[in-house]
Amino acid sequence: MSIQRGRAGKYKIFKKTAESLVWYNGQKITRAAKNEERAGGGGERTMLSIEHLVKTYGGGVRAVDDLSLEVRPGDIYGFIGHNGAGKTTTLRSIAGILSFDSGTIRIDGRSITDDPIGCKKEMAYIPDNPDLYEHLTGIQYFNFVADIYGVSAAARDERIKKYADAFEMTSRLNDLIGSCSHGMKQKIAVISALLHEPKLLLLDEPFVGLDPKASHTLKGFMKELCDQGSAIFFSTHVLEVAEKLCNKIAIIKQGKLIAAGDMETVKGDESLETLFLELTDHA
Amino acid sequence: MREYWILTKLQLTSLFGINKIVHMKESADKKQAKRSLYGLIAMVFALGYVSVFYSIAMASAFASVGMLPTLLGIMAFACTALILMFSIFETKGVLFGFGDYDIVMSWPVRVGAVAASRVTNMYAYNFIYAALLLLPAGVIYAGMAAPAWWYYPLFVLLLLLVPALPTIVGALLGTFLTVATARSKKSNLLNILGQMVLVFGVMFLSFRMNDTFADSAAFANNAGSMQNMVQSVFPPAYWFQNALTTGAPLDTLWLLLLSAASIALLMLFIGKNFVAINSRIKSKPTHEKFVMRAQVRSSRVTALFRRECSRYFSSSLYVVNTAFGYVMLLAAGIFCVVKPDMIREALDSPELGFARMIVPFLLSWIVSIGATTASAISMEGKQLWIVKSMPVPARDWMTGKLLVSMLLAVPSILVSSTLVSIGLGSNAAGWFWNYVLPLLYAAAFAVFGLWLNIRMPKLDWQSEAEVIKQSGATMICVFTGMAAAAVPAIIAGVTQSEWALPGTALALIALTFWMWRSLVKTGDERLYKLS
Repeated sequence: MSIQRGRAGKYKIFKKTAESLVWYNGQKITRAAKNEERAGGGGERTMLSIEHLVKTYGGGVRAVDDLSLEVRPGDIYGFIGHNGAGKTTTLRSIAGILSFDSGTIRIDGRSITDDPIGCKKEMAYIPDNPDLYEHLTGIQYFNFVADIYGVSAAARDERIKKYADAFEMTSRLNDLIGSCSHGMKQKIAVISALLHEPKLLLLDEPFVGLDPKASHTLKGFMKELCDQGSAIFFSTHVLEVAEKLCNKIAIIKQGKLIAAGDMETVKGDESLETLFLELTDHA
Repeated sequence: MREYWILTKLQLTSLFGINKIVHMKESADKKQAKRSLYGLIAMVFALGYVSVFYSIAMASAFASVGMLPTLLGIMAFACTALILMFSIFETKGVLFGFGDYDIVMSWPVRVGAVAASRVTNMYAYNFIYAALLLLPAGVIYAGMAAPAWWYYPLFVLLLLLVPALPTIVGALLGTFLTVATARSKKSNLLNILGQMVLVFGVMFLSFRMNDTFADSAAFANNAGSMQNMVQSVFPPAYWFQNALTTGAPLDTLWLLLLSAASIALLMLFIGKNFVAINSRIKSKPTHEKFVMRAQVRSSRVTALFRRECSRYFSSSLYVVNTAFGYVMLLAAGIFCVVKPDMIREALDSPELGFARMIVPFLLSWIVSIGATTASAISMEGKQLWIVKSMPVPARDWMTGKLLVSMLLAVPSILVSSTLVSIGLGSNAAGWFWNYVLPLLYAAAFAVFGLWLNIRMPKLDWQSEAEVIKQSGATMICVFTGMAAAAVPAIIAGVTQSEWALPGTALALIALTFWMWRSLVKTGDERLYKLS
């Protein structure tokens, strides 16, 4: 891959492989997409497909501007950008929490607008600062989530034990969530999101507030989930983590996607940090 | 003083969400916020109208027996009792345990200034109630008595003073209760019980006064004893009356001194203990070490209902405000069984031939103001993302909320209606309507509460009082409930038609069905758009 300065001082990202997605000023110009289009939209299963997403807030501010991308099974897809770039808005729109103006979002082929319940059954979302039910204990919250997703008694026993032990939370599960620290609440949110083994996991800044051991544990579970065929789409400001953990990356600036695709293809020989700074400062 | 003013301004910016509306960009959210504010304003006007109506009626009655000044004393007393109850409710949530405690306390401001700003917030809301009750009375008194010029500035000064004392006393009582119950594992339950006891105490004092008024001989013949009675039950109300009617400077001075002394006492106590009390509230007891056992699977609606129950009982303010009517209902039922002769004698008097017919409406009147659903959606607050991100149809979500309201209503109606029917010696039709009509009202207003709240949500609250006591949806639901039971009762009393009860029942069934259908039809979209 190479990054070249265009005539107008903007960056183009070129890579001629069948898989890579190549973007320039928000325009999707990939060979893979064209091939897929020719094949009548068939091809590999897509866990998350966003097409021309637009979200405008009051006053006409375009928080997300014609954003399109795809996440496939097994992907750990990082989503990076400055504060206010549109990451959380995109994640909330995918999670079915925020309405959007135009475009389509599909979860495993289902439209979030037409079949929100069907889509939500397949995914889990953790916001950047999870406000949980402080009047419930940890175990009550897990049972509530498991009931909503219809997780069997045997499966929830096994999974709660597995994840709570791994995050060293088991002994505290009888405490009210309101009495937990920020990091513990984050762990509870993570465990609850994993209970129904979602096909698509959406995480907004998942490592904020977690101690190093919990971060390591979470990364392990993220890889495990993707090895089982699920996909993860998450935002982060920790570029080192994104670089090591993700196989795909997308960079958003002022609501527009300025680069997206395979990690190695997008960043090439440079570090992700260097690429991010170049793209966001100059693109 | 500067710190106090800055913090108070911050507090007052949240008053009725006006600041938010002013600074919001044009959007659906702004329209929704405006709708809530207009609803609230409409309710304030409706309350004002009721207050004017009562003041005129009482002024005419008092004037006819030559005791017009007592109007001011009585209204000051009613206002004080109301504010005292509200302040006890609000202490935990507004004064202590409020949402932005951590950030406020991290600023370089004196603790006293923080506490004072919170009390001022309570006072600001209470002043609105005081103005609604006292302003019409003051104006009507002025119109009928034509007082000297000094009456008007003095009235304004005293109007500002009247809510201060009950606010402070209520805050102190609420504080003692909060401190006493904070460390207990059952702190919420104790707090709820404590608040109920305090509020019933205030009500008992008010009823003692009403009993005296009910004695027509005393009312007509002994104006002096009436004033003595006001003076003995709550002297500041008498000082208010006397200061305005005679211009006695000593009474004004007493009111000023008492208010200042109570403020000083509260500041002294809270200033020293504010952080300690908040720490007590915030530090929740740790339970015994959890040991993993087999978990049980439940249905989605059961899970949502359990969650809703847990949320409801976690807030003493929520419980006391909504369950109060049901406790009153039970008290009424017990009273009917304990003193059946007294009730039967009143009901069967020839002048009140319609009285038995309106008993189901009286029970329904109490029931219809107790719906928990009018604030149930707003209570989701910052945690709404959880339900929104889950595969939860709006119908199930709302069913959980509806069931909590009915969980409170059904047992209390069944017990109370049985007691009332036994006490009154009702016939078969009486028994039937004593059960059916209150149950229909409970269902109708539980659905109406949801119907309103999903249209007028308030999710960005810092203290639960903003939602439970001060939101447009709650106020509209409560006052519509009162009117919805009172209007058919009046029609039934006037017409004495045997169709009044079945007609009301059919109307309630139709309305409930229509509102629920509308909620189910548009609920998913409305839930999606809530933010």
